Amino acid sequence: MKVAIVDCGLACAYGWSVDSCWNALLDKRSAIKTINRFPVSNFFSSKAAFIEDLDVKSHESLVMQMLKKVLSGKQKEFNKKTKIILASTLGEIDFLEKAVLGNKNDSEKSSLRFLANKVKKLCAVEKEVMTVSSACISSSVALAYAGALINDGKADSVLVVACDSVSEFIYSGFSSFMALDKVGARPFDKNRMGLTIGEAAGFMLLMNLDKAKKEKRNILGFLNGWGLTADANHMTGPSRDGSGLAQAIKISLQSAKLKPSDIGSICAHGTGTVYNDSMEMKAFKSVFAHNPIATYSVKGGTGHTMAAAGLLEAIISLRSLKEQIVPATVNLHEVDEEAKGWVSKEAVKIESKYTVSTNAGVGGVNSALVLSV
Amino acid sequence: MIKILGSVKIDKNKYKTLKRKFSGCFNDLNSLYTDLKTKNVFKSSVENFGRFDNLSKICSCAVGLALFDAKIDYKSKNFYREEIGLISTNKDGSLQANIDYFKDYVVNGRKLARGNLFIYTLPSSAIGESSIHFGIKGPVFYAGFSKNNFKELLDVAKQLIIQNQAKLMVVIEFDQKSAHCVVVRK
Repeated sequence: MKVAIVDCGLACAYGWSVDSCWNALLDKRSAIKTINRFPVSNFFSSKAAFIEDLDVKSHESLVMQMLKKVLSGKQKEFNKKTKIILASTLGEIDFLEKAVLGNKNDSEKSSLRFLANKVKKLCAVEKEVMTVSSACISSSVALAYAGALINDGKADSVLVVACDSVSEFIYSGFSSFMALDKVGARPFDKNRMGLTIGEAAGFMLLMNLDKAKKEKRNILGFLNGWGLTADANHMTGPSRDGSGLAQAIKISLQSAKLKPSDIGSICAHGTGTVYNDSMEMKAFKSVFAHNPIATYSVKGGTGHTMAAAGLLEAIISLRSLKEQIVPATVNLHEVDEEAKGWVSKEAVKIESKYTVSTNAGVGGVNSALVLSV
Repeated sequence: MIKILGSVKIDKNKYKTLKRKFSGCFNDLNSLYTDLKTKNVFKSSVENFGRFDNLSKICSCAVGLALFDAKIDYKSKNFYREEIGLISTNKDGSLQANIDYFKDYVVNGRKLARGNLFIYTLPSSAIGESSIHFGIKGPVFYAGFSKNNFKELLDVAKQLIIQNQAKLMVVIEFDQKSAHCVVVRK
């Protein structure tokens, strides 16, 4: 059964809509700025892509503040029987921070199962919410599983919700890895030095095409195929030859019954770390037989939004296909040799129906989604 | 329908496998690991096992025992790493590791975070470590449910096999003291 995408919504450091994100990417603007949420003088960098409107002192977590706004008024779009898959790595981790800093014993409130319950109530659905977590490919896994359920007739509509926030918890951790770029992520740049943490929350409603047509839904696009693999190499470093990600892309193409030559653009994971971006280029070249395909990363603008990255990038991928433009890779100044001919500092027009969106994460996990309009 | 090729339960300092009826007792996870190495459940040393958090330790032991019970030699040339995935579930993800990490960071004056503690602050960290040692290259992720965790996770494994994302799946539900792990195929 064909998997149609009928609705989506997004909040990120660019603003509270898909349009605000897309337009900023086209303008080559970055949302990366100096953090004012917690002290940063001891960290490797002081930059993040965060949403200014969020209130760190609120009794509500940062992710719930985002989700409430993103999902506001959307409950009528899903019926009570819609299955929900929630993707997050750390969820309401600010509750744990407050518990530890305040010497309280309620760190358990930060557990994903509590967030899942809140999302269930927010969306007014009957079914229990499934959570998925696999580092930075979490929402891609959620989308892939949603697609699998619809494709196999096990569900006729699935809502994927994803979220992660900029917290001292995660920032301190990535700083300890020396994985942050002092000036802000520069994906595929010759002088790139690391990633920038970002935050986002979003949703995507996937539906069996027959049901979507019956309900006269506005069809934004299709999820055609998916591939999930692991490098089995190292917890924090990707396999240097890109073979794990290449395998994920191949599986996604087989799943979509497409050939590499059918793909007209790639939304890369493109974190801005030396190893990730190099690994991705090797993977792309191995699958697409060295024929350059318009490739871009959004993370120089949005930051690395962790579990939400896959969902955010799938949304932007659809927009890119609709407009037949691949946005410039924001914050790219000098294209790395490995990326020349693929990644550009300027927007590029395309003529293509299909795109691939890739992600990779801690533990050596990889994902590839094939999308179309 | 899916078929169980191998299965293990670890609980109350004891383990027992289903097919080969392989069983034993242990004092702690380090001694369990040593015991399983001598019994050739682990074909080689698990790199950095001593630095794993408890979830990663019990996960490694359970996955090793389940593969052993399924008579799968993960070092063999016939072990097709790309065709096997690993998915996990539990009640609270990596909550204890999250607490340990942040407490350590706060105690050190919020100046120095420890990467070797941070690495375990993801619900998928434990299976990440296991996928590295056992060479598992298919889908690897954590899934959480409100109830019937193991049954729900088996359904996920079945879907992944149906969708040709893997031919075999290792499915594990575990916490710091117990684990239930199976190897399944269509």
